[in-house]
Amino acid sequence: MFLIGLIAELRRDLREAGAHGKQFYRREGLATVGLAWVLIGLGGALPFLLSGTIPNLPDAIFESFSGFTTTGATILPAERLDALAHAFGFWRAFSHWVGGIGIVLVFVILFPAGGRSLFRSEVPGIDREASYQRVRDSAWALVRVYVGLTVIEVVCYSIAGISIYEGVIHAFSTMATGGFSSHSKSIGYFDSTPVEFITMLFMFLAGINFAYYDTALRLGPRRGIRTLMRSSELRLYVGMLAGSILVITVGLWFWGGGNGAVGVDLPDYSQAGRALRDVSFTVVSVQTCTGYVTADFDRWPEFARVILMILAFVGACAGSTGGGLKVVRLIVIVKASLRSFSQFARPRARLPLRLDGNVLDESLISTVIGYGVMWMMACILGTFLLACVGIDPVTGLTASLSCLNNFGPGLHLVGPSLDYSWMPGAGKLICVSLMVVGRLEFYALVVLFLPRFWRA
Amino acid sequence: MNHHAVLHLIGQVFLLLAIFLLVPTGVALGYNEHHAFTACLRAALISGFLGYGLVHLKSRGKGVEKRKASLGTRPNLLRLGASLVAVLFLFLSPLGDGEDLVQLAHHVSWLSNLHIDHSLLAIEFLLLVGGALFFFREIRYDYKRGELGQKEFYRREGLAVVGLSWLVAGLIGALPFVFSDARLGMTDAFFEAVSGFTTTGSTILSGEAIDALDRSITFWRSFTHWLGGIGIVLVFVVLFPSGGRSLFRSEVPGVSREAVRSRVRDSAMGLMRAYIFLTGLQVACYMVAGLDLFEALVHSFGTLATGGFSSHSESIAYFRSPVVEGITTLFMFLAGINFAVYDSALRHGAKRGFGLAWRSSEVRLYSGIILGSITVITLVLWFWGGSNGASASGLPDYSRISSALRDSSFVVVSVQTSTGYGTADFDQWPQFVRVLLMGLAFVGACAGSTGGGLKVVRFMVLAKASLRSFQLFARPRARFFVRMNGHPLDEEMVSGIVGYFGMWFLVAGAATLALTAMNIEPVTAATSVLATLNNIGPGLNMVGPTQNFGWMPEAGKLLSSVLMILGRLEFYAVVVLFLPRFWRI
Repeated sequence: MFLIGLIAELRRDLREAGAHGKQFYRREGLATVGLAWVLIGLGGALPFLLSGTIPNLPDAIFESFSGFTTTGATILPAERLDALAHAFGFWRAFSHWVGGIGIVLVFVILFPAGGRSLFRSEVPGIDREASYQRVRDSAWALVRVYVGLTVIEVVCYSIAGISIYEGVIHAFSTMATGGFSSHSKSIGYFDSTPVEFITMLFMFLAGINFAYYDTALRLGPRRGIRTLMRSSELRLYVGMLAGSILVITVGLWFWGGGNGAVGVDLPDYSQAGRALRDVSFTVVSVQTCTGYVTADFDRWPEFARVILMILAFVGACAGSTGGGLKVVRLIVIVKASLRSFSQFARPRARLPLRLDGNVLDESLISTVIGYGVMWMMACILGTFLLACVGIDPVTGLTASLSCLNNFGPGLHLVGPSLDYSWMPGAGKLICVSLMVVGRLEFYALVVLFLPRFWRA
Repeated sequence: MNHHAVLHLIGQVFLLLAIFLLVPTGVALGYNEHHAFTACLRAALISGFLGYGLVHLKSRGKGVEKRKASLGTRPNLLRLGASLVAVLFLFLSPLGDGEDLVQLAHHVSWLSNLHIDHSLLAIEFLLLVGGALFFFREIRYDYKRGELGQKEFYRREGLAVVGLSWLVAGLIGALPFVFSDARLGMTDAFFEAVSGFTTTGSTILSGEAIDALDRSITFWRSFTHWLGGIGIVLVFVVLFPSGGRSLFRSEVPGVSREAVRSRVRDSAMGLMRAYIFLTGLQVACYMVAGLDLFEALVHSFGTLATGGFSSHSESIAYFRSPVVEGITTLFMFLAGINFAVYDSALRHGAKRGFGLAWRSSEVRLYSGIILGSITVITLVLWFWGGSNGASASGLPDYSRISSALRDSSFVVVSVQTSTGYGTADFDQWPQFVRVLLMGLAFVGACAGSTGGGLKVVRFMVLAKASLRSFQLFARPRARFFVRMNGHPLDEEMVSGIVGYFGMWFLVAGAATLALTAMNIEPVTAATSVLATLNNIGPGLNMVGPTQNFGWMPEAGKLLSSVLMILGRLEFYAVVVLFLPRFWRI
């Protein structure tokens, strides 16, 4: 079974090698990426099917794609997950890890222009990198950063007292912001503040644009940190995290938690320390679209649930392994919306939009807003399709949201203490499509369906 | 920014509202509802005095040279002050139980030997006529003297007036509810009045409360719909035909040629004629179907303005008549089309009007969506009704395809045009249908109609722009245009429309969050935001078609009222009121 996995890995390496050959332009790159993800996802289902671990085809496909798209939603109910053989636990986490670096490479190296030039104009280091050699160097640098951070995390975990195997699995999953664990209770199993803290730290780091790490490696840490500070995306990312943690902690503290109103599994949130611990972990896990769980946030008060869903919608920074719409797009959308008021009052005025000092191109702004709207439409379409198979709106919406943003858990019937096993097969396939569409940020997948794209 | 012009116009709006308030006063007179009469009259007088004070803000009385008056002199605070005192008195006084009028009538009849009923009638009639004369005189004040005239009144002033008018209308329109037997609190009354003027149709009144309302108050409720409907059409067809709405203009080529030729006033007149004509037509149809005049008027008002208020708690279902439902469906559909089509039809004949409608891709898509949804939902209901216990919750037997068709066509058209009339409790229908209906509610009717929602034309532009962005992603250096009805659209317009969607989602998201913070369950919160922002009326769950908004906390009702106005005025007209830059000289 492992051999099959290795073959899938090799396939990916071949793609990478081929990507740097001649006559390989943007369109070929796009096609390759789209097809590769689909094929790898299907291939990754084979180990589960052939070994009999997950005999059902839609289930196996779901689990595999959930791995490679770093979503982290699972169809394995608690008992089966806890009883899973080590090899498969590893395969799941490994697919996360591979998927994570794959995405970073695709969106930092392959498509730094066009739909991503927003990201590009943000990091001047990459901008000057036109030649082939530089591209290869950057790719290697990112891989090194990725592997390096993973290793550091494993080391931290073993210091905190976790076995190497568990440490590796969770490090893979964290760096890829995936969310698979070897335990059905996820990180909550360890019930250890140091472990939660380590995980939180690395999730946060994985949610930052990897190009900054690249800059730091090439031009020195000082320059890297300076570029980091100047990025409005990062500032908003940190701000959203801090703000949400504050608001929800205070809210939970007032609410009290284990006061009998909501059953047994919640701790006593009237202790601010406990509230802070659970909230900060959950918020970071949600915003980076990792999906690790320490508390069943589906039982938290309404406002907290809704805030968390909104955070999951926004997601992490562009060029990271995190999912979601991406913070930078939110910034552009909000600025453009605010600008449209001034435009309505004074239609003839020219009001250019700036981001980190650079003026943004109008068509880029339209594209970003359009993208945001398409994202919402995809959620709504997903909700609708799931409703066609009989799933209620709240579950449907949060499941679509979760898969599209590669987050993992949702609310209600796909809440953090539950899984996707009960869904009808068609529903699972819908979720799989959303996962892929979300991970490849729409275009790479959808362009495959446009005839004009394939013309000579 | 010409502040005086804005204030003057708001004064005229107050006077206009006062005149409108005299109509239900007259209705109360007709039905001998004395308490309601006093309530409406009080409201009318309050509005009238406020208007009077504002309109005369710059006047100096008769002996002043016109030159001096037009040079931005000090405002005439004396008149304003006197008006405010009168308003305060009317507001706070213990008058208005109808008892005082009866007492007065006693005195009069004793003096003049008339029967008490007749003298009461006479008093009321005199008050009505007196009020009417006063208001009419004041509202024409400016035009005759030409003090402010057409100068210095630009887009910004127009925007300010529009935004403020709707707020003012909501406040003044609430007064009859506050003063009358219903005795609603200010928040509730404001909600109801705003729901009227924005043609939303959400209500905080429970079923029994609606059935128990005085006839004149019911009339006022529906009349606010009618006024709001034509108000919106005038604003978005006449006042703002360029910028955010020139899409409409370039879409209907007949109108753009006409706008060049005729004056703004002519277009406005034409639209009003079309609106009144359609109303008359519907009233006639209803009366032929057996409704009395009052009911016919109330429901026509609700239909053409795509509002949804009814005089009965069961809404249109009360009549249990497929004919009535059919008439309503037809006119709801018609109200969802751009009114310029009807204006053109009245001016140049039906053939030209229909040609215009048919050539518009927006109308074609609108009709297509409606027909498609009806087909799908009818089939689903038929399958569903045949199999399991759908008859459980009082729903009719959908295994007969005619009843499935009847209910689904009514509900689909009602939801798509954002009217909100109900014949069936669609909250009980299968999941997929509920979600589909919310999707239709999201899309809405055609631009330039009385319907709400994001408007079909915006969706078309969005879809085309999205398709285009895929093509751009594959080939970044190519230039693609988004076309509508054959004309390529300006980039700014496209990004403006896409930006509007972004704005909608931001506001809806924030509002949903706020409602859930008040411990409202998510589906209810989300659908009530959808229902108010898109001016539909009912949502799902606790704000479903057989429910109302009465249970919401005060803050929730206020938020919903604000959302209704935001949605109706398409955001900008309201938000600019809060930007300091907007008000600067």
